[in-house]
Amino acid sequence: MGKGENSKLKCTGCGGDVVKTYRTVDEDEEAPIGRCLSCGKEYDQYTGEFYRYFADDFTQDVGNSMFKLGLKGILGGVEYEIIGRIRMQEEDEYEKSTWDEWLAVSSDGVQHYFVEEDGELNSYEEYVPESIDLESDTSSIIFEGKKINRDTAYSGRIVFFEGELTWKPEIGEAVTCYDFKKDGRNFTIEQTDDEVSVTMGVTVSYKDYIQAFGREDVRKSYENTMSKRRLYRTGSFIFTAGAMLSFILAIYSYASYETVKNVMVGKSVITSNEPVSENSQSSYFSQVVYGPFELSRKNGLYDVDIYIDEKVQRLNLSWQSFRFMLLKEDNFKKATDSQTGIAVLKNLFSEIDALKDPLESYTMAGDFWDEKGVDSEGTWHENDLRGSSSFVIDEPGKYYAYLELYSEKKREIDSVKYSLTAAGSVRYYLIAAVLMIVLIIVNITKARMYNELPFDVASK
Amino acid sequence: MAKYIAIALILLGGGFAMSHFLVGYPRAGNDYISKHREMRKSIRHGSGFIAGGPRGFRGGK
Repeated sequence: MGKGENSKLKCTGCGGDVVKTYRTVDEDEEAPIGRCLSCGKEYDQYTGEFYRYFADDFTQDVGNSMFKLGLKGILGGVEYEIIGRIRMQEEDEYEKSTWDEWLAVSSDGVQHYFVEEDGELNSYEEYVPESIDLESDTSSIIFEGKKINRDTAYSGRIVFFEGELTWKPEIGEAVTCYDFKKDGRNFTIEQTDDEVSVTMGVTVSYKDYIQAFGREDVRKSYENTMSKRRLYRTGSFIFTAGAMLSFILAIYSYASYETVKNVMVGKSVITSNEPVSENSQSSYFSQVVYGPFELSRKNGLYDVDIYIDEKVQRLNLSWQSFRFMLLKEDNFKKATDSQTGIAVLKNLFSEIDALKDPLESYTMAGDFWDEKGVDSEGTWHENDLRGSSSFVIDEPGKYYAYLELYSEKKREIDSVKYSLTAAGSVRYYLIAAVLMIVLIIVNITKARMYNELPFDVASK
Repeated sequence: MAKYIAIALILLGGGFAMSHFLVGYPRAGNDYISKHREMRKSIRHGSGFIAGGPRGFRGGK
């Protein structure tokens, strides 16, 4: 069995002790390397010594495989016996990225390689190409007339071997590999300093191999694993359908949005920029009533949006607060005895908060502001020119809107506008859709990750 | 599988019911009037709320 052993961590240059340390490769990533304590020589993953020193890092799970030496199984009527194995580490990866090549010999004497990588299993057999040219072109190799770019090559390093192999491998030995397809078949060329091997293979189902090579408990674990994964996939399909249905209902609900027309007609200005002072703060006070307008939906949801129309007047580094009230026509007329004079309205609204029975059907308040200043990042200019709210109105009918405004400076009353929209509730459909998307992700992850086996099996 | 169907139906049904009955939205109209009538009974006359109404913080409250 070929494994690097810590007791042999000696520098090949000076014989000094080599210790494991790290080299910064990116801003926040560190790659493991070996460094001689005497001469400072470094061994990274592109040196054979690195793997001899640190092979253990890549071999801790060598026992987690469906195969093991001496295992026999019958596939397609042919009996195979596992006789050897090498484990390769991808050279460009400094974290573990390995694959295992299991050598099997069939009862008729033919060699096979079963390659396990990332939960997938491929079966390869030796292939003798009609022609192969590895040398005449510096940028590509020619395989039976097919050009294979050398840039597609990747390197592996042997980090573990066991059993009877057809050559004597060494830990850290580099192998250059080319994986490609030709005529619908998978080929791999593996090239070392001494030899070139060509194998042709197919991706095979773990199921067939577990049935052929696996013990009863492994077969049972495999069936349980696949059954659970199917269940999780079914769950993800169900939640996908549910999420789509939720989105459709949200769109349908959104389609019912309808702007209430003529909400700013019938304007009656009660007060305009009247100076007031309270708690030693001076401001300007305005009142205006709009309406009547029709809110036609019984138990309908409405959105009210109140905003500064800067086309009329910019807020320009000042503030303005507002109070919006919705007044049912019947109640309003009753309170004013159907009189519309400004004095009557002024008297009514000066007492509106003291009425025993609220006159308004709904109210909301808020502020608009526009500010600028200087901080460590330079000058800033921010504002909030909009306020909105949603409410459910129980009785359809005609309504008035009352706007009460306080401002730092004199302001055009027409610069504050509002709109009313008959709305549909979308939020709960979206919440349901988001929850189902979370469940989809959970189930897809479980469908990929669930595993009762001691080795990785892809979901195929 | 029945568990997944049940969860999906609960989420869909819950979303539909809460949307249909407009759960969580402020109620205007008679509900508002009743609620504020009770509030006003409990507020002493002459307090800031009665005198000036709910203005924003920049309105001098």
